Amino acid sequence: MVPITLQVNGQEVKAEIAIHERLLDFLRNELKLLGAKEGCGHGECGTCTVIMDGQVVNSCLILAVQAHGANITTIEGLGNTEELHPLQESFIEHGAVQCGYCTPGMILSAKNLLDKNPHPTRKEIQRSISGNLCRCTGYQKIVEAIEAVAEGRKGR
Amino acid sequence: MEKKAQYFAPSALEEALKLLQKHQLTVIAGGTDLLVQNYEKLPALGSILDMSRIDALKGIEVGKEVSIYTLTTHAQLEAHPWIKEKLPFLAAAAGEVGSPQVRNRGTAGGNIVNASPAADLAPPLISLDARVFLQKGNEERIINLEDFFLGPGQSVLEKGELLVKVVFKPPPARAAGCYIKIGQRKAQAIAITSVAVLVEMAADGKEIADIRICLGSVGPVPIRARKTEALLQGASRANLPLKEACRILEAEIAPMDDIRGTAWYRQQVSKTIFRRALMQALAHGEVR
Amino acid sequence: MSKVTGRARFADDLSFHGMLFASTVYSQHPHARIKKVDMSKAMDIPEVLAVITPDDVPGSNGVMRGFLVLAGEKVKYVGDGVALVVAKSETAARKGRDAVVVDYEPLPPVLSIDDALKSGASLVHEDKEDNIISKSRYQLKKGDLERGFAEADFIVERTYETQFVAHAYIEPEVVIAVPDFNQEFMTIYGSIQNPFSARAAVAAALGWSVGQVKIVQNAVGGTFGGKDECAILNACRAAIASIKTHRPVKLSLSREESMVEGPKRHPYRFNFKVGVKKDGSILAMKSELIAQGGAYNNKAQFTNWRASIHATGPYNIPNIETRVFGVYTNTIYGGAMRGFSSPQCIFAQESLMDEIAQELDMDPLELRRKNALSPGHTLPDGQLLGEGGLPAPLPDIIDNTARKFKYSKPAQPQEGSVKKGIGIACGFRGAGLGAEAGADATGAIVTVQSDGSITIVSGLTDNGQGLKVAFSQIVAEVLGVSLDRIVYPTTDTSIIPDGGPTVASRGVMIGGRAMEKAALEVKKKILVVAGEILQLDPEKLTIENEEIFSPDNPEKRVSYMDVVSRAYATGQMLAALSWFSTGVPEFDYETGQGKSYPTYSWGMVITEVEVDTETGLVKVNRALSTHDVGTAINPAAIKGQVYGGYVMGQGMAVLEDIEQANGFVKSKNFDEYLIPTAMDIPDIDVLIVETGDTYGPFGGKSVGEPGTEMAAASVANAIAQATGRRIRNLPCNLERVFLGYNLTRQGTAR
Repeated sequence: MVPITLQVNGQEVKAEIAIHERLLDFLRNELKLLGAKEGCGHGECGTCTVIMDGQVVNSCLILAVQAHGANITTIEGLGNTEELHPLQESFIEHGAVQCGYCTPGMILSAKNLLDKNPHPTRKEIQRSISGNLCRCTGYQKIVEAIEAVAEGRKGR
Repeated sequence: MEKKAQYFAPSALEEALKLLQKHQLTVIAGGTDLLVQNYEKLPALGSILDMSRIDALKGIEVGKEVSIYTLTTHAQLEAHPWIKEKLPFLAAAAGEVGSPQVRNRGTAGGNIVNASPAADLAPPLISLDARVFLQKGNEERIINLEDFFLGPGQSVLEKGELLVKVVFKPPPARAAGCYIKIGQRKAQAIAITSVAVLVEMAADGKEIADIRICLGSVGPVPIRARKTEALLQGASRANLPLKEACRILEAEIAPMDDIRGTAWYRQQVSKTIFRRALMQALAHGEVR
Repeated sequence: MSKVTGRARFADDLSFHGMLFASTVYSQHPHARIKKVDMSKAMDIPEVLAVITPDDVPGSNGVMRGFLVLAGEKVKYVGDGVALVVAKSETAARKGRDAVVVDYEPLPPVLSIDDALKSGASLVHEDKEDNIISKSRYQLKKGDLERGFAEADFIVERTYETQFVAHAYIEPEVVIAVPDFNQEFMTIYGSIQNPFSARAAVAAALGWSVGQVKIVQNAVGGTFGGKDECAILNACRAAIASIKTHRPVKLSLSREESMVEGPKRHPYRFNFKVGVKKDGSILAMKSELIAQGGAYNNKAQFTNWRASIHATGPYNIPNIETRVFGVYTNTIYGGAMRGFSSPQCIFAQESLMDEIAQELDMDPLELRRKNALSPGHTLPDGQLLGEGGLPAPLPDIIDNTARKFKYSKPAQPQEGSVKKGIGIACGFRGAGLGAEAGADATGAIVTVQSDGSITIVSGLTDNGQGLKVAFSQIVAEVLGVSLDRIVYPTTDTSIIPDGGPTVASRGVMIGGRAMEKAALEVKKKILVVAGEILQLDPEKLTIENEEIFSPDNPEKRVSYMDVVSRAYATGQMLAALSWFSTGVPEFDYETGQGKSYPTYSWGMVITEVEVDTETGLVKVNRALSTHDVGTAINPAAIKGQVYGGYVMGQGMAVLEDIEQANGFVKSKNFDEYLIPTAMDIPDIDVLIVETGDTYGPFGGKSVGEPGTEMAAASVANAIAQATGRRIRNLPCNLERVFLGYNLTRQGTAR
């Protein structure tokens, strides 16, 4: 067991964890942050996406010990019960959510893009979510939802 | 083994090298290959040496030589201003790796030591005549990247040895490169075949002064097409022996069947992308 | 909303006090006799509590017409479960799984349609006479085939084949069995598409009555027809483990397990013989369809029936003979997948149309226009179209789609190595289950609560396709109340009668009709109470914006809430359980003639591609997908279904294929089984056509399956047009496009 300290959604978390535990399992099983999910365990589907130190990563491909000292944002760290994040609102408004299994990862990839590049082109949007597979929507409405936020048609 | 597993995350290379002398350790950096290969059996990794906290092994130095330190991520390589401007084909190759998530974690060193014949960085780096700096204990050795690979998943890297950096000379101004990869879709695709061509034109702009060609996924290791290079060395741009070059290239590669494609397809399409890469590199060279 | 905040709970997100974890030991052979199962090493692992074999199944080990909870005597494919390890942690369960030693005696495997039909082939199911799937034979006969061929100017014969396609829902199957403390009831939580089928199977496996088993559905991460047999078998396993250990048991499949064990889209082989006149009219079509069913199959008998009705396409062909059957093989098996045989049929049928057009040197659009089923024609099943019959919008759809897309054949030959192609596919689709399995029926409950909220329960389930929204809208519309009042709890099999499976785009059509009926009954009751308050005849009242009034005397009105309060105060029930049934259809299964489906929906897709002929790379540029939806209830949702459906079809056309070698699955994860990413999609436009069909609720017809069924065919036709070479087996992957035909990999069975 190894002690780690990290920031998760703005709060300090201290834990003793097994060396071989994946960050995804730590978030889900220890912190009960269930928004990140496992779809493939191979870093292909992106439904386990979280933002770690300002970068989107697959939490299924990181050992939790490697996140010591890191600053992590999960979907639970976006918006709050009173007010949704503009991307969350836009996803609902544009019908970008069907089954919802890819949605948390998708929104985090989009957030990370807009944080770095507030006015991306359609191509840049598509590339930014190319590590997040979706089988329901055909991506079109997801791209539209992100575009709407980028163009300021939605929220702040 | 599992119970006794230890975790080391040194902040200095020397410390890491010492630990490797003392313990039986699995080395992890970005983890994007290691955790996939060991899916559902992570405890079997045993004790872990996590390199990701060694800051000295991160980043790119540009001077008389270019040093890409082992922990440089694909995203950093792709976005590096000098690389983007001077070696766009290398930046492009980094941008072809996996997904944004994988590019943010996966490292240049990892891409190399994993020794996949399909590694995206190998062909452009070999075409740049890159060398790798390997260190074990106090001993350092420098190996041509071309000679680093021994077979799928196998390299000259010894137990306890670490890849520290990849180093190459910046090509002259009249040189230009091109990397082309064939994958089944536009993102998250593993190369079925790939090629990097680096061409340097003579001062008069008419002849090829120097050329290096390296292909991925068409043999057990990335393949440098030396005979094809020899044919094209000194060839006149106006009268390129393309057909002959393709014929020689075909004999230099040794593709196999796998889940992504047949040997025959690889053989045929490698010639196409080689030809295209050469023409594009020549066109880029002209612009500069 | 909970789906965007990460708070929606999928099955894997649930945990229960004392919950154990299970892992299935899968077969190591495509076909082998099991000689011995040695579980001693697994039991030695401290955290392992039990290893379950067929002997531990308290009820019936055979469920769902031929499937086995665990294989006992022999394994028939690599996805067969042999034993189940139950442990305190998932890691220990997997470790235990790997420690179970099974001794096999390998048998020669049956790997393909040809293998299955060979004389002397080994039998996949030894209790059967041959490898033909029981009840999978159907035929349709119309007119006089031989006369049609005799009158034709020429005959075209072609064979097409399709591949195993994975549903590739991003959520793999997860089930949790939770026993009650008396061990008299079992609750199953899980990603299960059809709760009533699951309840029946779990009850059978436990030897209990169905009322003792309750299936509670949570958020489901996509299903597309697939979270059925495999999810249900795992539910049975978890339930048995739970009985044995007296603890809740979770079975969470990895992507690999899901890919290997789960159902897929059936591969089909199509043998066509067509008689055509020089002017392009098709006189006769003979087709033989063979489905590869895999090791088990309880769907071929339905997919094949649907195929028998649709195989000849939406064309006016006077003389038809269609024969369909399916075979067992020692491979992964076919089940229900979005389209239910139609994507395969349309690929074959529409490739054939293009090949006929090529023979005639006729524009493919022109050929379709000439033969399109039109008013006055009869469907393959004999039903009349046009006046006095069913709507027949295809001719208009063809014209309008071509106009909107600005269709014109690219000039040939094209310069350069990258060539453009435009492909067309037309389709028609029988709505609902039709005569597939007798009457098509389901129920709905609408209850007005004392606080004015309205709880609605359907016998069909929202699997992510948006039924919740559609049903809520229907009820809000009928009752004239705000959408916010509608509460839609997750499906629970203990509170509503068995409404059959949520398949065949039944959701809106059948489920919506039941919901509409229940809402109308509740409305009647509301009006009766309002009539008492207003002292007016309830028949003359109407509800709008939560106010009840008579249009003759609009000043006199009462609010919805006042009516609810009065109803509760005076003991009047504002609730209804309604049932909608299509009735038993008149249909002759010998000839395929009769009322196959109560109505059809029609459509067309045009796709433009660019093909790099030197590498085989296909870029899908743009597409227009046109659909007759009856009446468009929710155009935005329709578009969402079509976008998703199209991209799924695109994947089937160019990327997706479960690679198998000697019965072993090679494409087990998303690095080997590739589905389209956000960078691969074309610009997709949707043209919605309304036909005033009165069949669905408010005239709505489903679009979930039509949205996907024509896409692959249109992409394949576009590729053929660009390259001038026809690929007759899907997918049109790099190599086939580059070569123009299939190249067999060394060491693989195909």
